[in-house]
Amino acid sequence: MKNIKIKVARVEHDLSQADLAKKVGVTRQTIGLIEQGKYNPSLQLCLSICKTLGKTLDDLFWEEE
Amino acid sequence: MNLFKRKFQDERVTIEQNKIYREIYLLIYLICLGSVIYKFSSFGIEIQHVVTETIIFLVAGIYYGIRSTQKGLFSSEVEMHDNRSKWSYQTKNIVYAVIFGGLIALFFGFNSAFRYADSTPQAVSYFFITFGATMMFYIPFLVVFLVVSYSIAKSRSDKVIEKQLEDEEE
Repeated sequence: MKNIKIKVARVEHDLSQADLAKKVGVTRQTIGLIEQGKYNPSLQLCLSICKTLGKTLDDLFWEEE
Repeated sequence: MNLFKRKFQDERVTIEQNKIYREIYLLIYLICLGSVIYKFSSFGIEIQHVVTETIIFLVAGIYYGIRSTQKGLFSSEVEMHDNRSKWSYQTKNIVYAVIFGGLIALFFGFNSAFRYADSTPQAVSYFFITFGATMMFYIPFLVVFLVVSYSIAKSRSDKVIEKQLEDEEE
């Protein structure tokens, strides 16, 4: 399932996938795959993305029914 | 019992298993290296004694290269490296090629001087002739080989990434 929330939060911060990847310390491919729902990040990486985008885990990773 | 419906795997177990596989690979590599050193010191430096070890080194390296390119990992490795390092991946490749070429030339130079010379001046002359000739051959060959293989792997890996992400980035 695609993770639109990360993409929206990223765009709100005016960041490209590459910018976010650099801030978090991963590659653009990893961010792209997370947004597409093709890769499940570790909790550590989730936290790092949340902190960079100023969001909580719930904001970015909780799947609403 | 749903024996065939176990969808979730314990990722901690998988990660730990992968760490063990990585250690096993390193262990096999070290055993092969030890075997090469032992055979060279026991039977002399002849390539036919270490064919199996050479095949293991080469095939493992080539297999990793092909798989990492197919999965787009090669571009990611380059990206991570270039983000962290002052020198680009490509520059480091060229430096390694020059260093490795120099080491091979030194080896052949000393080998030639110790094996075939009858006097010290002849040994010095043999060393420099072989050293120079080997450098002139190996350094350009290694640089071209590494640069070309890097370019091919990078371009294929980039294409894989673009395909993976094509419906994502506008």
